[in-house]
Amino acid sequence: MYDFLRFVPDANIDFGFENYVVFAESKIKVNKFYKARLIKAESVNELISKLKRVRNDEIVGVYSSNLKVNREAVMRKKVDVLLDGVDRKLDYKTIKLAAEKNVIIEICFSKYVKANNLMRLFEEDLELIRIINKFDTPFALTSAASNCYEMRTKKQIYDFFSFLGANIKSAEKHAIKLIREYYDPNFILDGLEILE
Amino acid sequence: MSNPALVLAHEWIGLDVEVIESPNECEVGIKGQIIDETMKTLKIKTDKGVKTIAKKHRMFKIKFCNRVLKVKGDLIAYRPEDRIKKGIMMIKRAKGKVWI
Amino acid sequence: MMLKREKKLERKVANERIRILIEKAEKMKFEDYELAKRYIKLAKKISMKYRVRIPKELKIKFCKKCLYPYKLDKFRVRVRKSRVIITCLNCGFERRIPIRPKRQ
Repeated sequence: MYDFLRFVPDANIDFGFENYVVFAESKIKVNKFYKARLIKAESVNELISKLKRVRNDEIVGVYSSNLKVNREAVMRKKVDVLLDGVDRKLDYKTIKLAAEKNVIIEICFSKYVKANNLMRLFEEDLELIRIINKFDTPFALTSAASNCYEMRTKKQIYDFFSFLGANIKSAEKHAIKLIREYYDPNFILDGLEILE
Repeated sequence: MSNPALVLAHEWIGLDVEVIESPNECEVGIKGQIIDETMKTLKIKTDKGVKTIAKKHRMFKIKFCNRVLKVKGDLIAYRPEDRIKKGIMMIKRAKGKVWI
Repeated sequence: MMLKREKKLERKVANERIRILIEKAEKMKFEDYELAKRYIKLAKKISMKYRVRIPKELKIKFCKKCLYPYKLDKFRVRVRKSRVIITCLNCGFERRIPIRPKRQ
């Protein structure tokens, strides 16, 4: 239902999604879209010092090509999303921890547009989805576009990943839960909400 | 009593409750007043007598401090006296702090 | 960092719950005597776990030994030797509450 982006698109785009979440490192103006903070780190110390500056009421996503940084980010309380890119690395134990700590793992489409060695990406994603289904880890299927030419329609993205074996209904559920946690005053915690 | 999230820690005996989701279809729609609570079950007084319903894998609609709340049964599957400690910790873990 | 327990809030909630349970038992004792005893048992467990005192006016509403609430025909009150003696006729336990005369 929600797509994660790295840039601010035009106000009247329509790709079948309900709304968009824009991840950005610096402060920007997002008209009508949801705002989120992107943190890029290559070492653990850098990650911790950057996380200190983040306020509590923001959605936080971490992108790193270092395996140790991803492992550390899963265990942090402020981190909500592990963002995807061409050279993101995850291992079995990190995915298992993410299920315990309720951290969403993003699986993006735009890396297939950019990358040269497609076969390696296919193998990695098949393995990732297999482990996610095993532990019931929260995950999100997105386009992760950094310009408007990498954006795809909702049907295209979901068909592609359902071919790889992902469960689309649970992906939608986790994305909605993340947005409600920050923007809906009637949502208290997972499983407890006000109906009035 | 003013914070609706404290329903996890507060007394359930005497409140009005309705079962809205359950793996057993016959239980959906049971409505009434709670008269007893154990670690894994709730006893509900309905028009057709007292019904015993498990807490796990069910979804309840409950009236608490003039509000209607939807509560997942897995969150309250502890002993009634343990719920004060565990419920408050659960709210604190999700929200960061508990306001009164 | 470990999360700390909110002990003050826990005790406040415990106090409210004890009051609700014992008042509920007072209403229930004419319909279902065993269920009324169960409510008092729950209230006592909460007070022991969170180390909260049961207030004085609620304490004299049930027997300390067998935890049945006092009901008509099930207890006896006598005043002897400057104290009130309450006898529970379920278990025979005597509770003595002294009444001291005012000093002049």
